[in-house]
Amino acid sequence: MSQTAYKFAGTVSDPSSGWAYEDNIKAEDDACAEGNCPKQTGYPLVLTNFGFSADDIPAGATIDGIEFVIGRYSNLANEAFDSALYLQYSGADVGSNMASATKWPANGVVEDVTYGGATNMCGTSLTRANILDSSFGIEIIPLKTASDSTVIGFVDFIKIRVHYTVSTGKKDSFFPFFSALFSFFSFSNLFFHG
Amino acid sequence: MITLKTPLKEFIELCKIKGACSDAIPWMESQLKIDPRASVEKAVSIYLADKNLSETWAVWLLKNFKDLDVNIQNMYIKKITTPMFALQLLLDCDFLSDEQDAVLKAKYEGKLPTAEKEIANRTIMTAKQANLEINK
Repeated sequence: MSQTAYKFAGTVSDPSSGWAYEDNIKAEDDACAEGNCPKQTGYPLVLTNFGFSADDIPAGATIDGIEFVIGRYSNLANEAFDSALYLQYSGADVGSNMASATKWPANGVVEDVTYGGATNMCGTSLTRANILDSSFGIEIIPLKTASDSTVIGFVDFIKIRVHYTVSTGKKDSFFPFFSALFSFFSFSNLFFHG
Repeated sequence: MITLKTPLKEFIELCKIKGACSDAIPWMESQLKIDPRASVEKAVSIYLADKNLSETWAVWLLKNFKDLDVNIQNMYIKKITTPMFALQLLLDCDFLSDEQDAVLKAKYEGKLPTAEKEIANRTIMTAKQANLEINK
């Protein structure tokens, strides 16, 4: 199994205008996107255009898993949490809600949390072609618990890498030949042995 | 103890003391205007039946009123449909019964793979689990 390098979003969209400095999420540099975390109907942040290319995932590769890391914290402890966290394709959420149960820390230090994994497709059946498409991405919506205080979620970055397996081709061309040869001799023995 | 028979007026005052959100109080007060002698039961029943009213109000009440009668708790739990809200309640509320925990669990089970794994391998503990650890 192989894996790509981590990739960052090229495009960030804030359809409900709940975020500030959203482009800061495109790099792992401690500069954060800042989003309001209401109690209900949160503000989505949609990241796409991760730039996976044919050089990253060779033709014929089978996707085994999708892994992403989010660096985040909040202004208040035990308040902000992932409400919805979905992979995106073609403008829609796909697969499972990958939200963590862990509330965001509030120590002002970015905490990196890993989701998915080498053999975890995040509830999707995305193909190489889907991942190479610029619409492949991720959507995050944080909420706060019951507090009436203003809760701001800070997200430094979201980066994605893809785990895949490439079929070599050699196996396909040589194995059938030897297999056929073995079958021929086995079959011959049935008739000519003794 | 707040029961189904508790006057709504009394309940509203308690909600104000606990800092209830600005959406919930006017709604309850509007119910009180319709029927000044309304009980908690009536307000909760109307709340449950109205699909336009947010479940986050139920989340807030369950978290902030540990002394709610079990019947009221069960009515509010019925309002919860979002898997992550059900899970957050299970995480935070150590005073709910095992039966209520099971109802909440059924609302998120199989829908939140990352969070469920965190709970299963104890990366994160429910309030009840944490209490057990402390008392060991």
